[in-house]
Amino acid sequence: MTEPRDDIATPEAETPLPPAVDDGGRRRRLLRALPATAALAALFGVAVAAAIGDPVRHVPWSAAVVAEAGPGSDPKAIRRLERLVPEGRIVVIDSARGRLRVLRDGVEERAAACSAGSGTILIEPGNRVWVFDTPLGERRVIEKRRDPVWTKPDWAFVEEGTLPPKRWSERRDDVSLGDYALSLGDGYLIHGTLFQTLLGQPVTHGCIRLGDEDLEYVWRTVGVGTRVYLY
Amino acid sequence: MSGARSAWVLASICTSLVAVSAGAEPADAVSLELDLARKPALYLVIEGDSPALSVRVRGLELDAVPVRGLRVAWQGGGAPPALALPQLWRVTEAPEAEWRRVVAPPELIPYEASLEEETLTPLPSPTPPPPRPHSFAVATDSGWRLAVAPSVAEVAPVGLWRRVARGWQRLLGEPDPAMPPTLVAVVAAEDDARRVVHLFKPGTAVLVGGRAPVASIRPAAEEGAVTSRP
Repeated sequence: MTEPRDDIATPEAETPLPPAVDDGGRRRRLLRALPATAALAALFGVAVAAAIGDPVRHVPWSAAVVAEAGPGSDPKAIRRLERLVPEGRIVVIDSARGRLRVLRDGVEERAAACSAGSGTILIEPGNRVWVFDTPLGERRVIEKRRDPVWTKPDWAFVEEGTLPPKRWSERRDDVSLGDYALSLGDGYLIHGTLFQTLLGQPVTHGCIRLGDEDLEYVWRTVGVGTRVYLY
Repeated sequence: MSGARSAWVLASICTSLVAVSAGAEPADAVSLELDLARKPALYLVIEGDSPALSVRVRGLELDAVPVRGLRVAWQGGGAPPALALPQLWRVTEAPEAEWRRVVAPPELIPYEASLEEETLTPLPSPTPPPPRPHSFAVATDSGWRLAVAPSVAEVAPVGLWRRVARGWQRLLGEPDPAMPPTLVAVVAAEDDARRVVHLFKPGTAVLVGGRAPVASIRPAAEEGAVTSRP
């Protein structure tokens, strides 16, 4: 067994004792520096990200137009275009603002509040889907009916929370369409309404609803074959 | 017909065909509109001279949305993307359709005729649709997006934070979907975008850089609307 040598100092003997550490003070200093460090790190991150993120810029379109393609307008093409413009009496329907106009050679004869398609989609849970859009573009009045009867389709019941009835007699509705109807084809009609307070709002399932007096005017004035423009 | 005459006619036809196929002269705005006006569908025209989004059919302007300005927005540095006018674009993707959604009641009750008369019986009703969007952007077949909004920032993320977010996406290795070049029609009022959003259906033609209409039945000018029309 060897004796411990005196000339080899043990670490315990050589190393002076460290001063008493105030752990609480260091922690407090660290905590005080933390927000500033975090802010610096965040700023650095933002700067780096902003530097490498592609900016989105925008300029007036005149700054992007590089060439006016094509020759000057051909007078013949302009004349051809003018010949396509509808003449005579037409019906124009603004479906978003709920406005129907009857014009003759560009002069307005009548303006009326109307209701057009809501543009919504009715989804029968787990089943069918219906889209309630008013058609857009040019159509013609293909038929006029007095005292129209509506055979209510399935969506009319689903929308009201009921199952469609099995008997067709329960689908017959001779009130809702008013006194007259003008067919635009594909099941779309210009007709009357029980909901006159909603005129001007897009609330229908695609048809055009008019108030009683306006409907009678349109019925009397607009003939079969008249062009109807919907937008 | 003599041989020489036949040869001359044949040569004329061939010359015409070559000229057409070579596309020697790009179509002007009127010719492009003429092709659109021959069909019964609506088309939209962004005029080059007086900014307006014009709704037309058969050459006739039905209505027009006043536009405060047209701006080109793009992502990345350098010059703005080149926009040669006129151009015919077709909408390939309609605006977000969430505003159109209505869900029917989860349970349907058996129909009884008396239900229609008994107003006291509350019927389950569909969820009301959200309001129409006051700004929107649609994709077109040209590679450009077309947007209608009260400000560019509504449809193109121009702010610093969006740029930072894109940078972080890149740092994290996430894909950064590049924004296609966008033509923004900056409208004066939110309602202006709401009243035309339904016209932007897939297939709708948009003539960019078109001319003033040959005829217009645009309704009487409203406050803030463009009034100088033929």
